[in-house]
Amino acid sequence: MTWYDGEMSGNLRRAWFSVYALAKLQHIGFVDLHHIDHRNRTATMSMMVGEPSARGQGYGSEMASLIVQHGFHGLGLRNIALEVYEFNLAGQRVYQKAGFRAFARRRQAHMMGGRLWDIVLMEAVSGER
Amino acid sequence: MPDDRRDVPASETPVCNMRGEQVALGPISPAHLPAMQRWFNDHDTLLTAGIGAMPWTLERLAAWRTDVTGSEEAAWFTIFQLPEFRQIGYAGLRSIDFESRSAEYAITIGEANARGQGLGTEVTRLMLAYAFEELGLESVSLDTVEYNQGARRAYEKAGFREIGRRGRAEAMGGRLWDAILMECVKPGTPSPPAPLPILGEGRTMATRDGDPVLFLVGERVGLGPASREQMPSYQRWFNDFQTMRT
Repeated sequence: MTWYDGEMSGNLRRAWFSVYALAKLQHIGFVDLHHIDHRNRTATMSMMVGEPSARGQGYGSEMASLIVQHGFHGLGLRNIALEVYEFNLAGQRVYQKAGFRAFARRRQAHMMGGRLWDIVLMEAVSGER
Repeated sequence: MPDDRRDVPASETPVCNMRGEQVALGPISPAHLPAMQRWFNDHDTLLTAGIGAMPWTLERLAAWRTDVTGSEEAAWFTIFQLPEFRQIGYAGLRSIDFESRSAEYAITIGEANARGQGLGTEVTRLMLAYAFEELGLESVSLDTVEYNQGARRAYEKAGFREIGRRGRAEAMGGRLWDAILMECVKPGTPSPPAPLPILGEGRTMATRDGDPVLFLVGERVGLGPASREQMPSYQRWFNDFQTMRT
Protein backbone atom coordinates (compact mmCIF):
# COMPACT_ATOMS: atom_id res chain seq x y z
CA MET A 1 0.00 0.00 0.00
CA THR A 2 1.29 3.44 -0.81
CA TRP A 3 1.96 6.13 1.78
CA TYR A 4 -0.91 8.10 0.30
CA ASP A 5 -3.43 5.25 0.57
CA GLY A 6 -2.27 4.01 3.93
CA GLU A 7 -1.57 7.26 5.76
CA MET A 8 -2.75 10.42 4.06
CA SER A 9 -6.05 8.92 2.96
CA GLY A 10 -6.74 5.77 4.94
CA ASN A 11 -5.51 6.30 8.51
CA LEU A 12 -8.28 7.34 10.89
CA ARG A 13 -5.71 8.31 13.50
CA ARG A 14 -4.24 10.82 11.13
CA ALA A 15 -5.73 14.05 9.83
CA TRP A 16 -3.53 15.11 6.93
CA PHE A 17 -4.41 18.40 5.28
CA SER A 18 -2.95 19.85 2.16
CA VAL A 19 -2.53 23.61 2.62
CA TYR A 20 -3.44 26.16 -0.01
CA ALA A 21 -2.63 29.85 -0.20
CA LEU A 22 -6.11 31.23 -0.67
CA ALA A 23 -5.16 34.01 -3.07
CA LYS A 24 -4.47 31.60 -5.93
CA LEU A 25 -5.48 28.32 -4.26
CA GLN A 26 -1.89 27.25 -4.70
CA HIS A 27 -0.84 24.07 -2.88
CA ILE A 28 2.01 25.26 -0.64
CA GLY A 29 2.41 22.63 2.08
CA PHE A 30 0.69 20.44 4.59
CA VAL A 31 -0.35 20.19 8.22
CA ASP A 32 -0.76 16.80 9.81
CA LEU A 33 -2.25 15.66 13.10
CA HIS A 34 -1.09 12.12 13.70
CA HIS A 35 -1.23 9.57 16.51
CA ILE A 36 -4.68 10.92 17.29
CA ASP A 37 -5.66 9.20 20.55
CA HIS A 38 -9.23 9.98 21.48
CA ARG A 39 -9.11 8.07 24.73
CA ASN A 40 -6.28 10.23 26.05
CA ARG A 41 -7.26 13.23 23.92
CA THR A 42 -3.79 13.67 22.51
CA ALA A 43 -2.18 13.95 19.08
CA THR A 44 1.09 14.99 17.50
CA MET A 45 1.38 17.75 14.91
CA SER A 46 3.69 18.11 11.93
CA MET A 47 3.65 20.73 9.22
CA MET A 48 5.66 22.09 6.33
CA VAL A 49 5.54 25.01 3.97
CA GLY A 50 7.01 23.06 1.08
CA GLU A 51 6.90 25.58 -1.75
CA PRO A 52 10.06 27.70 -1.50
CA SER A 53 8.23 30.74 -2.86
CA ALA A 54 5.67 30.53 -0.03
CA ARG A 55 8.17 30.58 2.82
CA GLY A 56 8.71 33.53 5.12
CA GLN A 57 5.29 35.03 4.51
CA GLY A 58 3.55 34.09 7.73
CA TYR A 59 1.57 31.20 6.28
CA GLY A 60 3.03 28.82 8.84
CA SER A 61 1.59 30.66 11.83
CA GLU A 62 -1.88 30.55 10.41
CA MET A 63 -1.55 26.88 9.44
CA ALA A 64 -0.46 26.00 12.97
CA SER A 65 -3.29 28.01 14.51
CA LEU A 66 -5.88 26.41 12.23
CA ILE A 67 -4.75 22.86 12.93
CA VAL A 68 -4.57 23.46 16.68
CA GLN A 69 -8.04 24.91 16.61
CA HIS A 70 -9.29 21.94 14.64
CA GLY A 71 -7.62 19.53 17.07
CA PHE A 72 -9.19 21.19 20.10
CA HIS A 73 -12.62 22.10 18.77
CA GLY A 74 -13.22 19.66 15.95
CA LEU A 75 -11.61 16.57 17.42
CA GLY A 76 -11.99 17.39 21.12
CA LEU A 77 -8.30 16.92 21.90
CA ARG A 78 -6.72 18.28 25.06
CA ASN A 79 -2.98 18.11 24.37
CA ILE A 80 -1.17 18.43 21.04
CA ALA A 81 2.58 17.88 20.95
CA LEU A 82 5.24 18.43 18.33
CA GLU A 83 8.98 18.13 17.78
CA VAL A 84 11.13 20.87 16.31
CA TYR A 85 14.90 20.93 15.82
CA GLU A 86 16.85 23.40 17.91
CA PHE A 87 18.28 25.15 14.86
CA ASN A 88 14.79 25.80 13.47
CA LEU A 89 14.21 29.05 15.32
CA ALA A 90 11.61 30.28 12.84
CA GLY A 91 9.61 27.12 13.44
CA GLN A 92 9.81 27.54 17.20
CA ARG A 93 8.51 31.12 16.91
CA VAL A 94 5.66 29.98 14.69
CA TYR A 95 4.65 27.27 17.13
CA GLN A 96 4.91 29.62 20.08
CA LYS A 97 2.58 32.06 18.36
CA ALA A 98 0.11 29.24 17.80
CA GLY A 99 0.06 28.43 21.52
CA PHE A 100 2.81 25.83 21.91
CA ARG A 101 5.42 25.98 24.63
CA ALA A 102 8.62 23.97 24.97
CA PHE A 103 8.41 21.41 27.76
CA ALA A 104 11.48 19.25 27.12
CA ARG A 105 14.56 18.75 24.99
CA ARG A 106 15.87 15.50 23.64
CA ARG A 107 19.55 16.26 23.48
CA GLN A 108 21.89 15.45 20.60
CA ALA A 109 19.26 13.43 18.79
CA HIS A 110 19.20 14.81 15.24
CA MET A 111 21.99 14.78 12.66
CA MET A 112 22.17 17.75 10.32
CA GLY A 113 25.10 19.42 8.61
CA GLY A 114 27.69 17.13 10.11
CA ARG A 115 26.71 17.51 13.77
CA LEU A 116 24.07 16.47 16.26
CA TRP A 117 21.38 18.87 17.46
CA ASP A 118 18.75 18.82 20.17
CA ILE A 119 15.10 18.12 19.46
CA VAL A 120 12.78 20.55 21.25
CA LEU A 121 9.47 19.04 22.40
CA MET A 122 6.56 21.46 22.51
CA GLU A 123 2.95 21.10 23.58
CA ALA A 124 -0.29 23.05 23.43
CA VAL A 125 -3.06 22.36 25.93
CA SER A 126 -6.63 23.34 25.15
CA GLY A 127 -8.00 26.12 27.32
CA GLU A 128 -4.60 27.36 28.42
CA ARG A 129 -3.98 30.22 26.03
CA MET B 1 -11.79 1.05 41.37
CA PRO B 2 -11.65 -2.03 43.57
CA ASP B 3 -8.19 -3.42 44.03
CA ASP B 4 -7.99 -6.72 42.19
CA ARG B 5 -4.71 -7.74 43.74
CA ARG B 6 -5.63 -8.12 47.41
CA ASP B 7 -5.44 -11.60 48.96
CA VAL B 8 -5.19 -13.34 45.61
CA PRO B 9 -2.55 -16.00 45.18
CA ALA B 10 -1.89 -15.11 41.56
CA SER B 11 -1.05 -18.61 40.36
CA GLU B 12 -4.36 -20.15 41.47
CA THR B 13 -6.84 -17.69 40.02
CA PRO B 14 -7.80 -16.71 36.51
CA VAL B 15 -6.48 -13.43 35.17
CA CYS B 16 -8.73 -10.65 36.45
CA ASN B 17 -8.93 -6.97 35.66
CA MET B 18 -11.53 -6.00 38.25
CA ARG B 19 -12.75 -7.46 41.48
CA GLY B 20 -15.84 -6.67 43.55
CA GLU B 21 -17.34 -8.36 46.60
CA GLN B 22 -19.10 -11.22 44.85
CA VAL B 23 -17.75 -11.10 41.32
CA ALA B 24 -14.55 -10.57 39.38
CA LEU B 25 -14.05 -9.70 35.71
CA GLY B 26 -11.25 -10.90 33.47
CA PRO B 27 -10.44 -11.33 29.78
CA ILE B 28 -12.41 -13.92 27.81
CA SER B 29 -9.93 -16.70 27.09
CA PRO B 30 -10.42 -19.54 24.61
CA ALA B 31 -10.96 -21.85 27.60
CA HIS B 32 -14.14 -19.91 28.39
CA LEU B 33 -15.75 -20.60 25.03
CA PRO B 34 -17.33 -24.04 25.72
CA ALA B 35 -19.42 -22.69 28.61
CA MET B 36 -20.36 -19.67 26.53
CA GLN B 37 -21.43 -21.95 23.72
CA ARG B 38 -23.70 -23.76 26.15
CA TRP B 39 -25.31 -20.46 27.15
CA PHE B 40 -25.61 -19.21 23.59
CA ASN B 41 -27.55 -22.34 22.71
CA ASP B 42 -29.67 -22.28 25.86
CA HIS B 43 -33.23 -21.10 25.37
CA ASP B 44 -33.39 -19.53 28.84
CA THR B 45 -30.37 -17.41 27.98
CA LEU B 46 -31.83 -16.50 24.61
CA LEU B 47 -34.84 -15.12 26.44
CA THR B 48 -32.73 -12.45 28.07
CA ALA B 49 -29.66 -11.98 25.92
CA GLY B 50 -29.97 -10.39 22.53
CA ILE B 51 -28.00 -13.07 20.77
CA GLY B 52 -30.59 -14.32 18.31
CA ALA B 53 -32.41 -17.61 18.00
CA MET B 54 -29.82 -19.25 15.81
CA PRO B 55 -27.50 -22.16 16.59
CA TRP B 56 -24.03 -21.09 17.65
CA THR B 57 -21.15 -23.34 16.64
CA LEU B 58 -17.95 -23.20 18.63
CA GLU B 59 -16.21 -21.83 15.55
CA ARG B 60 -18.65 -18.96 15.20
CA LEU B 61 -18.19 -18.13 18.87
CA ALA B 62 -14.40 -18.31 18.55
CA ALA B 63 -14.59 -16.00 15.54
CA TRP B 64 -16.64 -13.53 17.61
CA ARG B 65 -14.02 -13.65 20.36
CA THR B 66 -11.17 -13.08 17.93
CA ASP B 67 -13.08 -10.23 16.41
CA VAL B 68 -13.82 -8.40 19.67
CA THR B 69 -10.45 -9.00 21.31
CA GLY B 70 -8.79 -7.34 18.31
CA SER B 71 -11.13 -4.37 18.37
CA GLU B 72 -10.65 -1.11 20.21
CA GLU B 73 -14.37 -0.52 19.99
CA ALA B 74 -15.19 -3.41 22.29
CA ALA B 75 -14.19 -4.61 25.75
CA TRP B 76 -15.70 -7.94 26.79
CA PHE B 77 -15.04 -9.73 30.08
CA THR B 78 -15.74 -13.10 31.59
CA ILE B 79 -17.68 -12.85 34.85
CA PHE B 80 -16.40 -15.01 37.71
CA GLN B 81 -18.35 -15.62 40.90
CA LEU B 82 -16.22 -15.27 44.02
CA PRO B 83 -14.69 -16.73 46.04
CA GLU B 84 -14.23 -19.82 43.85
CA PHE B 85 -13.87 -17.96 40.53
CA ARG B 86 -16.68 -19.88 38.88
CA GLN B 87 -17.33 -18.73 35.30
CA ILE B 88 -20.97 -17.59 35.29
CA GLY B 89 -21.36 -15.15 32.42
CA TYR B 90 -19.90 -12.33 30.37
CA ALA B 91 -20.31 -8.60 30.13
CA GLY B 92 -18.96 -5.99 27.80
CA LEU B 93 -18.90 -2.60 26.25
CA ARG B 94 -19.31 -2.31 22.50
CA SER B 95 -19.49 0.57 20.03
CA ILE B 96 -16.91 2.29 22.23
CA ASP B 97 -16.48 5.75 20.73
CA PHE B 98 -13.63 7.58 22.41
CA GLU B 99 -14.21 10.71 20.38
CA SER B 100 -17.80 11.02 21.62
CA ARG B 101 -16.93 9.24 24.90
CA SER B 102 -19.83 6.82 24.75
CA ALA B 103 -20.42 3.07 24.54
CA GLU B 104 -23.12 0.43 24.78
CA TYR B 105 -23.28 -2.07 27.60
CA ALA B 106 -24.42 -5.70 27.60
CA ILE B 107 -24.34 -8.49 30.17
CA THR B 108 -25.42 -12.11 30.35
CA ILE B 109 -25.47 -14.26 33.46
CA GLY B 110 -25.33 -17.57 31.65
CA GLU B 111 -25.42 -19.97 34.59
CA ALA B 112 -29.06 -20.19 35.66
CA ASN B 113 -28.27 -20.82 39.30
CA ALA B 114 -26.24 -17.62 39.48
CA ARG B 115 -29.22 -15.46 38.57
CA GLY B 116 -31.37 -13.52 41.02
CA GLN B 117 -28.58 -12.87 43.54
CA GLY B 118 -27.58 -9.36 42.61
CA LEU B 119 -24.45 -10.50 40.82
CA GLY B 120 -25.46 -8.73 37.62
CA THR B 121 -25.95 -5.48 39.53
CA GLU B 122 -22.46 -5.66 40.94
CA VAL B 123 -20.99 -6.51 37.54
CA THR B 124 -22.82 -3.54 36.06
CA ARG B 125 -21.44 -1.21 38.74
CA LEU B 126 -17.92 -2.49 38.05
CA MET B 127 -18.39 -2.06 34.32
CA LEU B 128 -19.70 1.49 34.72
CA ALA B 129 -16.71 2.36 36.91
CA TYR B 130 -14.48 0.84 34.23
CA ALA B 131 -16.18 2.84 31.49
CA PHE B 132 -16.03 6.14 33.36
CA GLU B 133 -12.75 5.90 35.27
CA GLU B 134 -10.56 3.73 33.05
CA LEU B 135 -11.82 4.47 29.56
CA GLY B 136 -12.81 8.07 30.27
CA LEU B 137 -16.29 7.67 28.78
CA GLU B 138 -19.13 10.02 29.72
CA SER B 139 -22.24 8.09 28.69
CA VAL B 140 -23.11 4.40 28.56
CA SER B 141 -26.34 3.14 27.03
CA LEU B 142 -28.00 -0.23 26.69
CA ASP B 143 -31.16 -1.80 25.41
CA THR B 144 -33.20 -4.48 27.06
CA VAL B 145 -36.57 -6.04 26.38
CA GLU B 146 -39.80 -5.19 28.18
CA TYR B 147 -40.36 -8.71 29.50
CA ASN B 148 -36.94 -8.82 31.16
CA GLN B 149 -37.96 -7.15 34.43
CA GLY B 150 -35.06 -8.57 36.40
CA ALA B 151 -32.49 -7.03 34.12
CA ARG B 152 -34.24 -3.69 34.20
CA ARG B 153 -34.25 -3.56 38.00
CA ALA B 154 -30.58 -4.50 38.09
CA TYR B 155 -29.69 -1.79 35.59
CA GLU B 156 -31.65 0.80 37.56
CA LYS B 157 -29.96 -0.19 40.80
CA ALA B 158 -26.58 0.18 39.12
CA GLY B 159 -27.40 3.69 37.87
CA PHE B 160 -29.15 3.37 34.50
CA ARG B 161 -32.46 5.09 33.77
CA GLU B 162 -34.96 4.51 31.01
CA ILE B 163 -34.72 7.05 28.20
CA GLY B 164 -37.18 5.63 25.72
CA ARG B 165 -38.76 2.66 24.04
CA ARG B 166 -38.78 1.27 20.55
CA GLY B 167 -42.17 -0.24 19.91
CA ARG B 168 -42.36 -3.87 18.88
CA ALA B 169 -38.64 -4.05 18.12
CA GLU B 170 -37.71 -7.46 19.59
CA ALA B 171 -39.06 -10.85 18.53
CA MET B 172 -39.37 -13.58 21.15
CA GLY B 173 -41.79 -16.42 21.77
CA GLY B 174 -43.89 -15.78 18.71
CA ARG B 175 -44.59 -12.11 19.37
CA LEU B 176 -42.94 -8.72 19.29
CA TRP B 177 -41.94 -6.76 22.38
CA ASP B 178 -40.85 -3.23 23.06
CA ALA B 179 -37.14 -2.57 23.39
CA ILE B 180 -36.32 -0.40 26.38
CA LEU B 181 -33.41 2.01 25.98
CA MET B 182 -31.50 3.02 29.08
CA GLU B 183 -28.50 5.22 29.77
CA CYS B 184 -26.12 6.13 32.55
CA VAL B 185 -24.33 9.45 32.29
CA LYS B 186 -21.12 9.80 34.25
CA PRO B 187 -22.00 11.24 37.64
CA GLY B 188 -20.41 14.46 38.82
CA THR B 189 -19.21 17.48 36.97
CA PRO B 190 -19.13 17.48 33.20
CA SER B 191 -15.79 17.74 31.44
CA PRO B 192 -14.62 21.35 31.06
CA PRO B 193 -16.00 23.09 28.00
CA ALA B 194 -13.60 23.71 25.17
CA PRO B 195 -12.65 27.33 24.67
CA LEU B 196 -14.51 29.14 21.96
CA PRO B 197 -13.16 28.77 18.45
CA ILE B 198 -10.89 31.59 17.40
CA LEU B 199 -10.09 31.15 13.74
CA GLY B 200 -11.77 29.93 10.64
CA GLU B 201 -14.88 28.61 12.36
CA GLY B 202 -17.71 28.57 9.87
CA ARG B 203 -15.68 30.46 7.27
CA THR B 204 -16.12 29.29 3.74
CA MET B 205 -14.83 30.40 0.42
CA ALA B 206 -16.58 30.22 -2.90
CA THR B 207 -14.81 27.71 -5.10
CA ARG B 208 -15.42 26.50 -8.60
CA ASP B 209 -15.44 23.02 -10.08
CA GLY B 210 -11.89 21.77 -10.24
CA ASP B 211 -10.74 23.87 -7.28
CA PRO B 212 -9.38 21.93 -4.31
CA VAL B 213 -11.89 21.01 -1.60
CA LEU B 214 -11.36 23.18 1.49
CA PHE B 215 -12.11 21.91 4.97
CA LEU B 216 -10.96 24.86 7.08
CA VAL B 217 -10.59 28.37 5.75
CA GLY B 218 -8.42 30.96 7.49
CA GLU B 219 -7.44 34.47 6.46
CA ARG B 220 -4.74 33.60 3.96
CA VAL B 221 -4.56 29.80 3.93
CA GLY B 222 -7.07 27.00 3.65
CA LEU B 223 -6.76 23.34 4.65
CA GLY B 224 -8.26 20.50 2.69
CA PRO B 225 -7.90 16.77 2.12
CA ALA B 226 -4.87 15.63 0.18
CA SER B 227 -5.30 14.09 -3.24
CA ARG B 228 -3.28 11.57 -5.17
CA GLU B 229 -2.54 14.20 -7.82
CA GLN B 230 -0.52 16.16 -5.25
CA MET B 231 2.03 13.40 -4.72
CA PRO B 232 4.53 14.97 -7.17
CA SER B 233 4.56 18.16 -5.06
CA TYR B 234 5.05 16.16 -1.89
CA GLN B 235 7.81 14.16 -3.52
CA ARG B 236 9.55 17.35 -4.62
CA TRP B 237 9.36 18.85 -1.11
CA PHE B 238 10.43 15.69 0.68
CA ASN B 239 13.49 15.36 -1.52
CA ASP B 240 14.61 18.97 -1.05
CA PHE B 241 17.54 19.16 1.35
CA GLN B 242 16.71 22.77 2.12
CA THR B 243 13.27 21.61 3.27
CA MET B 244 14.62 18.72 5.27
CA ARG B 245 16.73 21.14 7.33
CA THR B 246 13.53 22.08 9.13
